[in-house]
Amino acid sequence: MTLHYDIDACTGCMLCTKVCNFGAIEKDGDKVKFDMDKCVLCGSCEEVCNDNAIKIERKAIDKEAIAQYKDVWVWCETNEGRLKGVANELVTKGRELADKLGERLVAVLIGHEIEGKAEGLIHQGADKVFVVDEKIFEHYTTDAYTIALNTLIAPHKPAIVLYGATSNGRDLAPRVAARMALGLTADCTGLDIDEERQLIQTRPAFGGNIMAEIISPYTRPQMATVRPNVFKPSDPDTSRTGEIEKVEMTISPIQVRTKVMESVNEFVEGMKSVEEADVIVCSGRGIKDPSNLELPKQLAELLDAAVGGSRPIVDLGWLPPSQQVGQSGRTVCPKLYIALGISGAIQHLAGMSSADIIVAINKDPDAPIFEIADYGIVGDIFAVLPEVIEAVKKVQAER
Amino acid sequence: MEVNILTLKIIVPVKQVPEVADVKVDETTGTLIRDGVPSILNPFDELAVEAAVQLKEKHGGEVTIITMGPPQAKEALLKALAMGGDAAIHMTDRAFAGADTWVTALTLAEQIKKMEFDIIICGKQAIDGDTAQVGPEIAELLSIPQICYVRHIELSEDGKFVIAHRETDEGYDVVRARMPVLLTATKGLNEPRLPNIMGIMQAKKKPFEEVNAETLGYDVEKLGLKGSPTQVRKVFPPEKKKGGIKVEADDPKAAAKDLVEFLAKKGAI
Repeated sequence: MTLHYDIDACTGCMLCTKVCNFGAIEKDGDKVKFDMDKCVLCGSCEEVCNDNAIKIERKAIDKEAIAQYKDVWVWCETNEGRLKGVANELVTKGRELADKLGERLVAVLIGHEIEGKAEGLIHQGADKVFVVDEKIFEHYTTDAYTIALNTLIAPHKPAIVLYGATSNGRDLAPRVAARMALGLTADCTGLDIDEERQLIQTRPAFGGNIMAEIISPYTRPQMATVRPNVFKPSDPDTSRTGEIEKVEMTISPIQVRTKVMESVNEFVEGMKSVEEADVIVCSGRGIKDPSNLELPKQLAELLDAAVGGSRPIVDLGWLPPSQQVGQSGRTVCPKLYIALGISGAIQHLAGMSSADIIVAINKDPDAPIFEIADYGIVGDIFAVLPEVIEAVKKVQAER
Repeated sequence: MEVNILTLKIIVPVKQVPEVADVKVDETTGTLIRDGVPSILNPFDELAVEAAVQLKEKHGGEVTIITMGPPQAKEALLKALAMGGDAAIHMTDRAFAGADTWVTALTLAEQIKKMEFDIIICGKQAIDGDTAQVGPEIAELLSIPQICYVRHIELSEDGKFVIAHRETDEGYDVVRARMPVLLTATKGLNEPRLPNIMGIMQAKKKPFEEVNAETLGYDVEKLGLKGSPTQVRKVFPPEKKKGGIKVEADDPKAAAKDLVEFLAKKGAI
């Protein structure tokens, strides 16, 4: 794992200094110099160097050991007996990866009284479902779930294990991975298989300013958490068949070192979840006052939409945290996203840019939100929004 | 009943990060422009430091701040000391560079194993990588329980347990764990204090230890980039969605009508 720089071969074209994303290459007279504290050996410089002056030597891969690992696994999260939306998204994506590898897709269902969900996962694309159904798994705990997953993974040797990047998924995956001394890629927004049958894990970094492709070349299983609402679930095929295997697992309460004393649901009565809604009406700083949220709420009611907020207005307490859209809130992928008075900071865009149709109303013509909006209106939301509400009412009345 | 444990030992692992909001992308090359971007103490780590200092102020004890990073990361440690940390450990060595989350956790855990602790408090995630992995990985390597994304921390009356509110997708769980335990701090836990002049001056006099690969006593082949199971293969600018129609709302009524027609035609409403 080293970078070799052939200073004599280098013609000083400086191309490498321009492509380095880590600030590791600097001009040094006619040549360049490398700061190995910053270099991550990503290979961007090696790729652009026309003089073959940069060579990256990587560790050898134990191909024989790696070949023993087969199948794509998806941990299918449940909450109070309900399957989380991301489970179906991952089974759909996992199916695609398994097909590319010519291997099986295995779903892992852990919980209590959740056996009935197994068939749906087969319809969604799984070839096999492991069901671990015990009272101790009724509520998520790090310890019980880590033990259950490790117990399944160790003997079966899957090549890939995927988790939804939910609160619990991001708590569990690093624990499972660290127990097996494995790499883990967080919050992926893209997954693919390369020509060497490796999992290519694409994720945003630096607040969404840059995308990174991560691989885990030396170890198996390859593990990743995947952002919810990025991949679309396919329509279930009820004619699909597969195997359901119930696994008995005895975990003593002593092995579970945390105790959930109370579970509080903070979803405000009558407020639709932004993660599940087909339409979201989202407000930003431009809404100016919490009392003005009545307008977006009216529009949301007409469209059966969720009411969302950008980080600034959630920080101000105008909407509960459950409604926050963006990097530090929820990632959403609705059919229609209406952004009101939202400028469109990169952190906000990271949470909503994959919506099918984006509408923006903002009085600042240079607001970044317009760069991604399918339909932008430059204007005062307080003048335009009431008219939009009236126009929607009219269209709906005509139907 | 007031909990009083005079020996409460708290470790806070922190990271120095670039102020991500100031990072821009060069439109022509698609690479990050890092020049002039300030380095700061990761904001989630400020929550962790504040929580640790508050626990110390309430129950008595000692807060040790630890980081793994280049020489300039000392600034982040000094800030945490100025906020009320008692001692700092700076793990710095070329051999540590390029570490992914697993090796970062391993390196920190190897040092922490040599120390005494009741509670470890990390920030939920660092704002440059956003992985939220290092905390749970440290907990696993130390074989201790974890409570991630906490918004509220208290100790049980007997001083043996931590009771924390853990943020979930639906709300929060009230979770109890016996010490030693690792917590990760999220928004809403507290309002981190700004260091005052006294704090800043005292910070420079507080115990400060440097650790390198040799003093850590760990095989350098298993550290840093060399020991990382994950590898960055490529970095590239995110695909930009192209904007579509953009109109001026000189006549709000007409603009609204056109928009609703557009949406109706697309079948969106």
